[in-house]
Amino acid sequence: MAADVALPRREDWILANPWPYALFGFALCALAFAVTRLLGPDWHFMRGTFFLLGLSGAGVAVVLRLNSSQPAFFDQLGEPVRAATIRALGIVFALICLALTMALAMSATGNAAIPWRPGSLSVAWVGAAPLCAFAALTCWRARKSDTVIPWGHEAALLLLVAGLSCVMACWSLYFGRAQRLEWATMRLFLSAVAFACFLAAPFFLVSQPIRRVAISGLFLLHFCGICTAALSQPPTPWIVGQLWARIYRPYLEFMYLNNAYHFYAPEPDASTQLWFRLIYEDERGEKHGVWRKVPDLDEEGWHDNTVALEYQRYLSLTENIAQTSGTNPNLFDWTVNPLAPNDEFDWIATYYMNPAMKKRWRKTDTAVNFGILKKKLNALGKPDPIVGKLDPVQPPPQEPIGVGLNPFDYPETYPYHPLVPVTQQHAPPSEFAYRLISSYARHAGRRPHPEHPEWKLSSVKVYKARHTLIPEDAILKKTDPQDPLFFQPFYMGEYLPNGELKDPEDPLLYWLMPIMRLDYTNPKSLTADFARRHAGDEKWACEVGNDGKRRWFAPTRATFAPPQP
Amino acid sequence: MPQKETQSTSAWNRFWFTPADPTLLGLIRICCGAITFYTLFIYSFRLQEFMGTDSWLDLETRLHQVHEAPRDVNDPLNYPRVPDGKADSKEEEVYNEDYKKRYGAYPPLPFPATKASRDFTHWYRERYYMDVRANGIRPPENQREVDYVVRYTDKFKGPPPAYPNFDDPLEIAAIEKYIYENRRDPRVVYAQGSRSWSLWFDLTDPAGMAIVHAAVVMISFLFTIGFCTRITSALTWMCSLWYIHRNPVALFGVDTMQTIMLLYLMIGPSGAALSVDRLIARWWSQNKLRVVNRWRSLWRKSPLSAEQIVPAVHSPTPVPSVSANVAYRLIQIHLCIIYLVAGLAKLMGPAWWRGTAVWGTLANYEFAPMQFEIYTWVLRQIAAVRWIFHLFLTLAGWFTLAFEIGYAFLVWRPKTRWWMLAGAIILHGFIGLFMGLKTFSLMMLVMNMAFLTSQETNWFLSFFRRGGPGPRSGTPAPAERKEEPALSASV
Repeated sequence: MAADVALPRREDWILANPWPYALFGFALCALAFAVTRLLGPDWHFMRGTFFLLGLSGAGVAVVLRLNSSQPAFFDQLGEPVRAATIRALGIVFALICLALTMALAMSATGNAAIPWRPGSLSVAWVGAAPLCAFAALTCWRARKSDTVIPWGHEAALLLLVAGLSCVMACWSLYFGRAQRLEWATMRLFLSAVAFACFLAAPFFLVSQPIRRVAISGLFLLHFCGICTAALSQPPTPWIVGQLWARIYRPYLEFMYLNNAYHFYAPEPDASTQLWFRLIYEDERGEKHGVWRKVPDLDEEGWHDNTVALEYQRYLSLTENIAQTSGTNPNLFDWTVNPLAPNDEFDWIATYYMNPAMKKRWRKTDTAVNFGILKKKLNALGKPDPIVGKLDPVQPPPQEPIGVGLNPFDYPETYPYHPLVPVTQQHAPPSEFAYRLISSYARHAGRRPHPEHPEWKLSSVKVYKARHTLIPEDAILKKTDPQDPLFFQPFYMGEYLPNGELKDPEDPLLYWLMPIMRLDYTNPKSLTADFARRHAGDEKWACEVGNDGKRRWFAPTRATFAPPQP
Repeated sequence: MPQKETQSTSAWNRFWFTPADPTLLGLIRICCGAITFYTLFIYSFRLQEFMGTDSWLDLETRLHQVHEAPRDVNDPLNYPRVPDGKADSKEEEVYNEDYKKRYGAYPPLPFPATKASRDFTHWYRERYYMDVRANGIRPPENQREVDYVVRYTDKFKGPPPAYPNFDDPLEIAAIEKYIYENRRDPRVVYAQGSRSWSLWFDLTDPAGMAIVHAAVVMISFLFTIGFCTRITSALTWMCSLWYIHRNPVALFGVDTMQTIMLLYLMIGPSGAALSVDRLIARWWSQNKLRVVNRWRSLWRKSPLSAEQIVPAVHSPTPVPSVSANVAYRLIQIHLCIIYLVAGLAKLMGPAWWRGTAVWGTLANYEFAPMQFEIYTWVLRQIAAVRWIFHLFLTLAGWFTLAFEIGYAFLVWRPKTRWWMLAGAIILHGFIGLFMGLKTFSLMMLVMNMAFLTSQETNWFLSFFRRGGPGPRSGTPAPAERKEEPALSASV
């Protein structure tokens, strides 16, 4: 810095000096805080103005200082101010180091006064405390120096002022415990910015080797976190799971760096569409349904969004509800006495059929499961299960695949999909997906009836339709990729306009409503869409005409009547 | 401090802390800024559908995730205490043996303090078929605790994990409300909510949102052209995260990559080249004296001569800086991690081993351009001959795996760098054209630009300069380096 001393001091204009901005910014942030404390939360405009101008001032000051290599501006104030400033800086950094250490120790010992967990605090400590200690040491050594203050000291001081401005701004958004959730996330952001300022400040005080070591350490911490996020998808090593959950998750979530980067892994899967059946009620109480599909593709496959980016955002909406809870359907439920040791397994249970089964046609593999259970119980000398529990009024038909039986004979009954294993025909959503579906239903239901906007929405039936990948033989045969047979719609429930699930005990909830064809070898033959029938759409059968166009129509009993010999 | 650098320290310092030409960073800023501007601008058409109070992911649901959703840690840090029947007293031994005789296993800890407690553990087990200590609670010792345990078990089908503060009915109500809404006891979840933040959580008035959104789009434009880049880069990063945190279910790859790039462009001097800032700096270097003197005349001060005023320095070529190098390195390493993880994760999928995974991307109706007859015609030609079909799919799959896994190792070597960059162009060109993810592909290619050299960047930029293409050194004369901005010199 000897060269800096030798330079004759030149004048610069006032706007190049960061201090007016910094002090002005801090004062305005303090005013914003005072408005909240003294006048209450309702003075939005005044507080907002102070808040924005204050933070802008603090930001401009830091940028001005960091973009300039001029000597420190406050050096012009003379020796006493210089010495006091250096002492103050040293004390502040020593206090930060001490506070972080104490907070970590208290958090680790389970002290409830510290709101942060040891994991996050240890990262903060590693990132900031040693550096602050070094910075305090540097200030202590430089307290009696007669040379000019390097610009780095001023940058550190400005960063501290900016950090304090952020703290003031943060508290100006706190309106008391009752309203603690208002602006809570922006308070979090401002706290993080303040922390970043306090973390960055000592960098400008320590020597270059220490600075490099600290920066290298931060890079390592950062990329360790990135790797943790990447490895946090199952199967996850235990240690990575702990690091992810206890230490890195808050940081990576905050920065949105928590992506696992498992693109098309483990393998590309089918897409998901959402079908909403909006059911409106007219003045006479009669119900009318309208379909709304996301994404909305026309018959030729073109979307109606402004640009492809918007269309892809809609696809992301639907992909997020594809998550299932991973539980298998209980085709047969029984209660087992858990007190019985395994070698004397005691089937004291009450056997009963899952309610959903009463609404389904029996299928061979179900019967097999049933047979295995019956055999096992008989071997143990137990009575036959279930049989007597079937709905005696309307026993399910015995051997049905396809539209072989006339659906009009079973108005409340739905067949299984003939080509999908039964256990894969039940897809209860994960907790997250369930909440999303409820929100989507609420939003979809806000659209008024296209022809009668005065009709009130009664409910929304939601179907998650899996659009399977188009097989190569279908491509070769020029089969329409939008052939209904490529869709597997799962019934996700009927929702009230407020997003509440109408009947959580609905036996058909989360089950696949199959789309079946009379002749699977002939794409033009009669197709029955049981999702449409379930949704109350009277046009639930379709045929392809000679012009190649698909035509949906309302079937009658005769539509499904077996051909006369 | 003695400067003894080992070979590895020296290599480390060379890797991270060698000053680098920021021109490429400026070019990356323009490309990334343009994509960011586009992604933000597109929100304008359906801002309320994605960000509004009643959007697809409505505010109530989102705020629940942000403030309340349970966050778990899968396993405990320490091994759970396994009941082993060890007894500290005769009384305990009798209890343990009796318990084992009745239920086939030793009881969980802790040992019930009173006889009434011991009797209650048996009563509870026989009534509910589980132990009252299953979730870690000690057996109840008074009637109030017994009532609480029984009521809790009847309601939530399991024993409670702890006793509440019985004097605070609000606490009990809050616990029960949380369980009803989240199906978890708040006392056993590791944390609640996420560290998400967004202005759109609190600014919900549509008119106000439209005004702020317009400002955000304008800021991203200013960042793209490099105006006040140090400030607009930070603001663009911040504002872009508002949208991301508000509606994380409407995101895809481009948002992820955009956030990464904006972060590193904010760290590096992305406005030090190819920016309006540089034009302003040039203008300022020529006009500072005039402007300052005019300013002084407003305050009736005497004018200054050129020697009396701090000169505004402007280098004709961008000044190399350490922070530019740091930004490049951060982008490069992050990109390598992304490719490596993406490649390794694919190895878990049977379809990638089978060689048919690529079909899953080509024949996905929602993504692939199957509405174009020519595209389906090409697919038909490929699928028509079985061996061609499988050869194509297998080679495409192997190429993807080899590229993604090999990238992190080969892109650093001068001899294979261009092979890897060419592979990136092919892969992302394919993704952009046949999977519809154009913005994502463009952003990935922009990230790959971080591996270009200064000479290659200048060669590319020379096409846009007056005088046509030609070599140009990216390193300024030593005299110019002295004026390196303070931030760059700081490391």
